[in-house]
Amino acid sequence: MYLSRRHFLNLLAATGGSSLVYNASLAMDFIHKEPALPSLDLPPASNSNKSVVILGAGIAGLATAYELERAGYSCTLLEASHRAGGRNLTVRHGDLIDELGQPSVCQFDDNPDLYMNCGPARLPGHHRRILHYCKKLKVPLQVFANSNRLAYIHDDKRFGGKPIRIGEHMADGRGFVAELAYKSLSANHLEAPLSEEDIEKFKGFVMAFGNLKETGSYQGSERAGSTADRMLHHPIPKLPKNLSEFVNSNMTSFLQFMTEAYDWGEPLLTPVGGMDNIVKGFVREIASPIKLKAQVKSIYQNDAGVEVDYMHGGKMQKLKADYCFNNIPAHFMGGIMNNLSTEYQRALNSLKRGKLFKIGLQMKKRFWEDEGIYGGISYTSLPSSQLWYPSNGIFSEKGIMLGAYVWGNEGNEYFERMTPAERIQIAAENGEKIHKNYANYIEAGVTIPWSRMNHMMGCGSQMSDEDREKYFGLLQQPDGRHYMIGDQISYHSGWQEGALASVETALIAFGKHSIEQGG
Amino acid sequence: MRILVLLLIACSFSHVSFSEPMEPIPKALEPCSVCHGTQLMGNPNTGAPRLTGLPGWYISNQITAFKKGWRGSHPDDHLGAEMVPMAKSITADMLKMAIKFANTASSPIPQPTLHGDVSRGKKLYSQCAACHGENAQGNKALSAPPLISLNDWYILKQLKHFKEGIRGQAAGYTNGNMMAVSVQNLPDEAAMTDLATYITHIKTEKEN
Repeated sequence: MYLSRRHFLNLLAATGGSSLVYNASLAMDFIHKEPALPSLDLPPASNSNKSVVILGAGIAGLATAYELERAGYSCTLLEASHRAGGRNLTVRHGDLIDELGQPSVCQFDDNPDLYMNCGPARLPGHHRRILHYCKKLKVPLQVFANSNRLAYIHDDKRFGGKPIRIGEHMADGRGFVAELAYKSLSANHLEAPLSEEDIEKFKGFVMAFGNLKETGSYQGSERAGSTADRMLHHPIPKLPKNLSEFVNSNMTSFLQFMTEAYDWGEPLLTPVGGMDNIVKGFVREIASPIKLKAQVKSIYQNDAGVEVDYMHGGKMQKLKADYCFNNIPAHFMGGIMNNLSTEYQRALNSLKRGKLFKIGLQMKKRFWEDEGIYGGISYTSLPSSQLWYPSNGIFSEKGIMLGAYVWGNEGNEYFERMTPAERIQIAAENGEKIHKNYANYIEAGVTIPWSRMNHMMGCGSQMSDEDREKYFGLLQQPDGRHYMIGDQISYHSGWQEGALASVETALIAFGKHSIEQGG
Repeated sequence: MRILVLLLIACSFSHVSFSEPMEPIPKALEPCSVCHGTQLMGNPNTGAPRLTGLPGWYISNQITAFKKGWRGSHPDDHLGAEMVPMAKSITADMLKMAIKFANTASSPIPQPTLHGDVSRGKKLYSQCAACHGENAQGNKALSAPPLISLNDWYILKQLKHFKEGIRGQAAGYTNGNMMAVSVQNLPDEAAMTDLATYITHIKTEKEN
């Protein structure tokens, strides 16, 4: 076996996660750093080009209104739901959980610390667009603990079904891999032209990576804690896990590295008091009317303008404008009458509904703090998949935990078919396998199946590779006077940053178009 | 010449008339239009069928089927399952309203999206005509719905569901049971596609 540099990077990716590779690659200047925010520099509105209708008051719609207003355009936002914000949804005491067919009301205590971010919940430092607006809208942020070495990985089929501290799991994983790498270096299985001295230094790195003994063997690491009190005794590391059981756990291969993805790399940020403070910030700073409970029925355009029919207050209403920015989930467009070009309609139809599910639980006691856990995420092989511990309100009486976070069709459909009470029951049973008495601490819960939420019916839109090749570029361009916006037409579907990137693209195209029209 | 063509295109575009006045959907039915679309025209992306023009008795039968778990209970019928809580929340008054709206509102006639073999589809349809009528206009006495107001993608999906046992197996769902037996004569997906294509073709024939 030879170990080339590429192999080494792959090995790092598999064991240390992509962030190690990213850092290594960045050091070698392989990849570009994030570019600066482009200046939108919108041409000012003129009399013949002044009115804009924005369909949907999600993050993309709100940001579009914010920017166009400042360039002198007269905007109107039409929002089908009872609230602005789209999937940027924070629920508190008394809020409506608008699930289609089974609406409910949030029963959390009336306490500003007890909230659940049902959509976006965390912002990485390189999502510069959303952070730009947080700064501009004066939305205070706090650090959000995303990874926590004291949280758990739980595989109900391995290790006796007992939860294992993530730090312990990580120490073993790195130890096993480092031992292997050390042996291969000792046998000089390296393709790269390294001197003896280089190889010794490389061995040093590998030993540090896995916390190996001088002999190059892994015998457990105090990075995972100690079996004796570390303050009064010399630490005694736990023995490594059984390697065969370790590699056979389905959880091992990916969950250890979950928070090493670029978008989940520490430290993350979150608005103090709830993600919807971004929505509130936009609403505060936007003068344009936001018509709620206004469901769009048709979108027609011609050379002179755009006309939108919508239901509002039990009546059909008509709105004429010079331009239209459309933040409606694309999967609804097949059911909204329009005269967009056939190809553009085909492109819209190629965007398919994604699924995502979250449960928020009010816990009467912050029992996780008794286990040394302050924020972060535990992962389980059971249907609820993830448990999040709040980064806010440490040592207060109660707290809101995320009791389930489910991706993929199968897991979502499992929960979708249940009533909210049944879903909470499953979350309680699953949590019980990780924390003793978990179910007894639950006082109230909210369940958010995004593909069942009114006026949304999906989250994280999907497109086949073939369709993406064919249509994605088209959707990022206007069709006549109609501009599509939203995370759905970014490569970061399900992220606010994706929504804002789409706005940036649309407004730059709009600015160019306006200059051409004026000139 | 090229300029002329461009001019014609430009003119035709500017003469596209805006939408016709639409009948407002009753407030209680607004949730229906989230998936079923404007004037309940159907939406291939949510998988919700066109309801415009469906007779009241058929709409009523289907709501009952969803309520009783005859439809939407099969583990592979994810879209059907989405309708179950909706059907359960529909009251008798809402059902009346929905039936009335589906028959007073107008929405575009479904356009073909499938490209099957029309003549083969026509032959296959001969066995359907006994219940669904020669022009797929339906037959209330036999509880056979009209097919002409449905989209081809929806017809195809339901044929597959009947054939695969996803729809029409539940005890008590007599009409569905009957249909599940009838589709067994359709050998494969190609045959079902031809059939659905032909049904859209009947519509076009009737229009012209």
